[in-house]
Amino acid sequence: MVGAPELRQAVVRAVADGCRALILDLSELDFVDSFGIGAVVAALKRLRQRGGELAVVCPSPRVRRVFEICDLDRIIAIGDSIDVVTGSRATGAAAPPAPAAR
Amino acid sequence: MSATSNDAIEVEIPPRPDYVSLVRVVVAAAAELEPSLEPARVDDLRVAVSEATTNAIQAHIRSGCTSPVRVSCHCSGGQVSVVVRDEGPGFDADAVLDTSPAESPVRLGRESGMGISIIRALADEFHIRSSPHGTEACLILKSS
Repeated sequence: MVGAPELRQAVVRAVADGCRALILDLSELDFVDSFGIGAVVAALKRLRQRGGELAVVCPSPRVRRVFEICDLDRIIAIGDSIDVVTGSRATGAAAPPAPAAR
Repeated sequence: MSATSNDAIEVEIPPRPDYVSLVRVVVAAAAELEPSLEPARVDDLRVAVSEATTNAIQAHIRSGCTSPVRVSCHCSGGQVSVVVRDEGPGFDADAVLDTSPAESPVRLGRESGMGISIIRALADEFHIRSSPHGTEACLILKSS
């Protein structure tokens, strides 16, 4: 996926700068494969290792479908808009993040 | 790229990740010529072919093989079949399937290896023949 390496680098920088709550806006993304999914998992892992959390804005059904195939919708808050993933709106598909481990 | 006598489209690419998008475009364009295949199915095909091609390229890179990865695509009767062939060292497809819960630390530790699971979820049929001399991944998508 074009952009996955850049995403990894951006997350590393953000976390190093102290960011612990990150919203990944994929509104302009119309394709994702396992490379992209891997970058999102890496971001989630890096944040949770530091007590942080990740949410994803993903209005594209085709992109969201790949997230769902990989079960990431069960562990990451995914919604159609920033309002949805931040919980400021009652509607939408965002789910509360699950604990990192059971 | 070439068209064979049985209307298959064949593409040979260098084993480099930046060629995956080319395969994706070619296969999707061929699939769009199949009138009964819905756009959503073509979207599924794009993802599945990307995963299969990425796996093949990675197999060549890991083994130092510089031979091209070969992709053939055949559309007829409301379905598209794609075969991706590599000359890598082969692998056990069943061994890479991870059935651990999404919430488990094991799954969170995996940043790769999800390609096979994605293909299985998107394709109507998916077969792998693998040997120490190479792998042939065949996936079929049908109209809904």
